[in-house]
Amino acid sequence: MNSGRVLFHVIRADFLERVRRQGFLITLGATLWAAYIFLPPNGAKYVTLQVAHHRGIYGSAWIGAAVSLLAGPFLSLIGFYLVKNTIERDRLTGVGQILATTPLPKWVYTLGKTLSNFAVLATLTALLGVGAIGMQLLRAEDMHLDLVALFTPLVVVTLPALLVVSALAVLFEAVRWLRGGLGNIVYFFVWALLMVATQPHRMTEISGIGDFVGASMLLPSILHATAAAFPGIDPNTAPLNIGFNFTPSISGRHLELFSWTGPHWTVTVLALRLVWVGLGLLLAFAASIPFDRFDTAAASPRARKAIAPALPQAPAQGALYAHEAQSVARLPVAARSPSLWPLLRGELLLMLGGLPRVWGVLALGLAVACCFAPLRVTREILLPIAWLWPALAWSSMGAREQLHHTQALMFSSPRPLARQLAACWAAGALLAITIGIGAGARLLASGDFTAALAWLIGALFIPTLALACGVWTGNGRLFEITFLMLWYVGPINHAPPLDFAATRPEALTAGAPLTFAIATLALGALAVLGRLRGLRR
Amino acid sequence: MKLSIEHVGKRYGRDALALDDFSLELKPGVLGLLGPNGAGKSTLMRILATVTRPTAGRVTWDGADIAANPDPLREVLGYLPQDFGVYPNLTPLEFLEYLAAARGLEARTARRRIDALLELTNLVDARKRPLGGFSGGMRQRVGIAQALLNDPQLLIVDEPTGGLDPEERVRFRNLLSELSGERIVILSTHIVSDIEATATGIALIARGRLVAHASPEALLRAVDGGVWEWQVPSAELSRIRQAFRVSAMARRRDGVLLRIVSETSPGPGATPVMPTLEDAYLFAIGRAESAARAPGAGPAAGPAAIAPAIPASA
Repeated sequence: MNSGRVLFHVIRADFLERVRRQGFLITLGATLWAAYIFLPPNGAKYVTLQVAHHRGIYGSAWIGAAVSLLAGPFLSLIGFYLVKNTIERDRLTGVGQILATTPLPKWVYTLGKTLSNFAVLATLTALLGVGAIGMQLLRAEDMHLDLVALFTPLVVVTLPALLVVSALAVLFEAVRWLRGGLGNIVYFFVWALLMVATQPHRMTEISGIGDFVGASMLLPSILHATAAAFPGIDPNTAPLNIGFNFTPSISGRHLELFSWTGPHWTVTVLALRLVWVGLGLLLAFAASIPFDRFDTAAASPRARKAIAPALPQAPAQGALYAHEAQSVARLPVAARSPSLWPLLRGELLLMLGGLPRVWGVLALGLAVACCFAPLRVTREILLPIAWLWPALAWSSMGAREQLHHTQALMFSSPRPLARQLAACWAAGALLAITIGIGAGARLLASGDFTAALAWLIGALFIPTLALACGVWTGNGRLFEITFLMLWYVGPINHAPPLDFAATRPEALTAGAPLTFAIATLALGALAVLGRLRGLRR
Repeated sequence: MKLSIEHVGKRYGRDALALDDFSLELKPGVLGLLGPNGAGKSTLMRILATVTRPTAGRVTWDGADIAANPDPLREVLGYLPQDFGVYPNLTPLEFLEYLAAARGLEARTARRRIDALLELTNLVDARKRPLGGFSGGMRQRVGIAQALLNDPQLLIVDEPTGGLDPEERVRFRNLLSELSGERIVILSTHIVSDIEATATGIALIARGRLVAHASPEALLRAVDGGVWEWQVPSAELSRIRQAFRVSAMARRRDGVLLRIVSETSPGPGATPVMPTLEDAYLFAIGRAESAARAPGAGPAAGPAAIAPAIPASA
């Protein structure tokens, strides 16, 4: 069988397996909804793409460009987490073991998986395009439908970035230490770095290899068209908004409209995007180097250490079940106890047991630093870091039973909701409180009770978010990405309404503690509902 | 101590019926639940273990509905699921301590029982090694230990011998026999020999329905005169296998020696032989399958109608 045919079947099988899952329907629905919110009507309470209170008429060219500019950052981030499970699925289902015994070359496998990831993301992009057609007709500012003008930005600008994302997802799955939650966190920073390092150029399409999401393929044309339509606008300095903006000074205003027929697609511009396609393919091939071809012997040194001594354990003759010597009926009987402490201890062990010792040392260091650094440094820098550090410990909360297939054991125990779920949450909260205790105690000691209360709400919000995400999704991915984004926008970039750690007083005046207290209660209720749903199957 | 299963049904989605009008009453002893793959055994086990809720009927433990009020049963329940996972970074000791805590057992006395169970299942030497490195058999032994943590009054073991080597299987059967005294043990399997040695009662299940509930002796009596040995030429084998239920065969120099389960003699030269429990199982399941395929077979047909030769209860 030639490599091309093998490649086709790797892509086909993987793609079909994914799109036939019920969850994919939800993804499709969310994609159509995204197309809807990307294109708000004039005067809406938010804006997405505008230049100094001006935007293009919703014709095919503008709609295609707007959807492409907004979908690029969105799909390049969320899309990664959506597709980063293709090798894992083969590993978990055991299909990988079968594939490993076939002549399938590693590079064909990683390339096939990359292209399958890409097919999924391209399907979503195509659906965005279809949704955009609907939006053009719905908004009815320009009823002339030009499919080429609408789809070209999606194909030329968005898809090359998504190929890179698809390959990165495979590469992360191929590298052992990037497979799990750590990889999810690392990608967030890789993505942020890519976005910052390849920022779009306002005035020229051709600059280096262009930006990652391809915005510089469209922005110069948009800015020049705006300046041409409204001579008072300087394309070099005019405020440009790409993304959801609810700021009162910008949103809610009636934007002035102009006609835009799209950029001039030159060969050089197209070639620049092909560079990203090449990079994506190169990454797909590179992923085959660390890919272990499902060899369990290539496990981590820790796992090998665990396996090695267990293997030669041949039981002594006649002593496999020692009840010849000791009757099972005469074993000591354990008493019952309502105490939650042993369970809490067990949950803490589960949460922290798998983490390396160096993690614990650094966690301790952060906790101690929170106690002794200047209070402002503690609140603005150390506390956010201290609360990011255990993210991987929190991320399996509520999902552990599904991840390790222990539901039958746990859910057949008495009061799984009031005991096990409560103990799991308490363990997460205890971790957040302990690692950030320096900040909380000092705020309390300084008499700033509002800030101390905000700190406590933050400490309770994080594990509640983790628990709700874990219970409903059965994995830690949703928590990892939601928490990271929130952490980055709130405590790190000090967006007051989203600053759950109340790193600055502005967060208190913006009402963040109240928002997060309500969110904590709502997420807690959601976690209980999700677990009840699991128990009542 | 009484477990009553009353007209229980379980439907997945619109079309898939895993259990259909299943009724059974259990008292202390070992019940072997026997049926082909996909018969609904695991679904029934999961319902009895309060992990799954029935879509019809009810199950009561000492009179209380276990779907509405599962905790009284859970406190006295030991459950070894067919497939279960472990937390790979925990040692068997830590894992059992965690499960003991989840079952509401007091830490100090639970520790003593865990030590004894680790000794019983020969895991003492491996007690401080992460479970992630355990073989399938060792993991299964951890599963057995966890099922016995709370000295259960109702012990449900679903396909427990998978992953165990022959010696482990024999010893596990002995362990079950020893446990049966004052508790209800339900052993679900499709391996007849697992049940032969331990069960005081057998329930046969096929296509989600109870085919028969009887003592092993009653099941054997029902197939008396229905098992034959018959030597035939090799060329005839294919035709005979289509016509009769062949439970075993052995090659001979001058043909093939077949063991056939059939109410009437399969042909000239066939001699009746003593039935085994496996023959009885094939006989009952075969009848149930034939009855289910027969025109007009509807949901009203109960166990007695499907297998009139076998009493529906011991």
